[in-house]
Amino acid sequence: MAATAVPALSELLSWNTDHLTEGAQYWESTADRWDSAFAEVDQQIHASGWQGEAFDAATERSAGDKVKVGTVADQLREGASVARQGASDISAAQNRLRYLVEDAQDAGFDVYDDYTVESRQTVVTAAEQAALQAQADSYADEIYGGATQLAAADQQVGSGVAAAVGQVGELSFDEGGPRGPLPEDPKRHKWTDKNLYPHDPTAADVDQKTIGDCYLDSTMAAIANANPQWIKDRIHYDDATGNFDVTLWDGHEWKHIPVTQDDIDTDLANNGSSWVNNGQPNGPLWPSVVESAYAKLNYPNESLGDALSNKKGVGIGSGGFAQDAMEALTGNRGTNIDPQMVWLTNQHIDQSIAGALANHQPVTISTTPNGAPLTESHVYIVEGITGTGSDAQVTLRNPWENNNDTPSHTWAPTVTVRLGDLIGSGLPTGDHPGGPFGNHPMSNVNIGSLG
Amino acid sequence: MTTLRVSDALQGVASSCQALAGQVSAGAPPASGASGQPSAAAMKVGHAGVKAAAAAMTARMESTGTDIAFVDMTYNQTEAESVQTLSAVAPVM
Repeated sequence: MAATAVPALSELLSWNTDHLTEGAQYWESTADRWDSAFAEVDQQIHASGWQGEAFDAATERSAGDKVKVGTVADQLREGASVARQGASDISAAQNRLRYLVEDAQDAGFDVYDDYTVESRQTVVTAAEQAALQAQADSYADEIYGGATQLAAADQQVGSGVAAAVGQVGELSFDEGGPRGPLPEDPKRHKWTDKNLYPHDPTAADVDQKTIGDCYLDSTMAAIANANPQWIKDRIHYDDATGNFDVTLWDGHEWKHIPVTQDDIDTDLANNGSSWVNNGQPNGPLWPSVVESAYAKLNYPNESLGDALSNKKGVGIGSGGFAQDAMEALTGNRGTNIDPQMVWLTNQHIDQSIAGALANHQPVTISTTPNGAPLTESHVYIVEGITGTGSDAQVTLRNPWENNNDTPSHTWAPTVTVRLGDLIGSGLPTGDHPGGPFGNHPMSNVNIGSLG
Repeated sequence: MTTLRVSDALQGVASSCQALAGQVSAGAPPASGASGQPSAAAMKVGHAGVKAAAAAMTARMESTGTDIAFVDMTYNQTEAESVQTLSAVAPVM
């Protein structure tokens, strides 16, 4: 009996199912590896703290990838399941075939590769011959039937596997749109609390440029010298909004002034008082934050650009008084000494300044329109005093951070002058110093009280 | 220091992607079995599909990592450039 529909018997009996069980194991572990890899990326992006449109795009992509990969992984698992079950079915069919062959052999028949079966017995009569042949044919039919079932089983497993995993290799990801970086996250803030204080605040952090707010710059600089923490306590950064909350006294209560990212950019673009816009991109940002808040406090109805401007009645750059700035920053106007009147009040300016500096209080002096030996109509930070009386030497820091365009003509940020030369002499001259009856370069000593 | 933390996290994601890109195509299929066995042929085709899918996933993972690393770099560059632009404003007095 020729066998053409199924492979040779010896070949069928040599089949094994290792490729199915080992392949199933490989596919299952691969599916798990794929799932966990894309789930991990998705989870990491979610946990990054990143926010905004780019974050949304990235999470949409990673979540989509996770689902897509999960679908393929499930196909692979289904293929593994079909393969495992198939291995079992094929083994069962193969065992049945093997038993059929063994049964025939045990009954005295030889079974050949082409599924023919012949008796090994020697017969004499035609009747015996016919009976043995009938038995051989019966074995042959059964064995061939078993072989056909085995071949069909394997064929069926192959079809099942192909159906399960046929789409796996067609996986593709839509990289639609121009390839390139994701859009920048607009909520990733340019300015954060890390920009505020590269070091503890100090007067040298303040760099007045074209905005005429020397009274504010010198006051906050003097406070930074006296108590850096006082400056830090004024500003609280909120990363959720990107806003800096600045607490200032408005004359009645403490106000929380929000300074936005745009506000800071505006201040820097308008020559605000930090070094960040003057060659030190990593310099302390806090002066610009305080300056922006002070402008918004005083001119809430103006744009910040105008509120920072030198337009009279519109912006803080049109000039002001140190004690006003001191009040906004500390809640009180401090002690104010008018040097023209000390002959009347009997105040000792030298002792007042020395005591205040020793006590870590902020001290500024303001000059009159006749400021020589200092520049006129300006405010300086008092950083030191030596000696006593009129001959005491006072060290003053210019918020311009140089004294080039002043009577001192030096690029050094500080100058030391004789106290008596600042107090001047003669009668009080009010708003018209330098007249025939008196000369008073210094109009005010402001000593803050930080409580 | 939230920005630094986010930046660190994004750099972590980017480097994870590079590592995972290798992992998704790791491993080798077992031997295919007898050549005349239909199920063996089907498994062989299946393994080829796995290889192709793994290659697509590796490329995707690398692409995600590159994009995220670029976002982080772009952000830092933008920050530095804008600061440099601002610092070009000449001080007056």
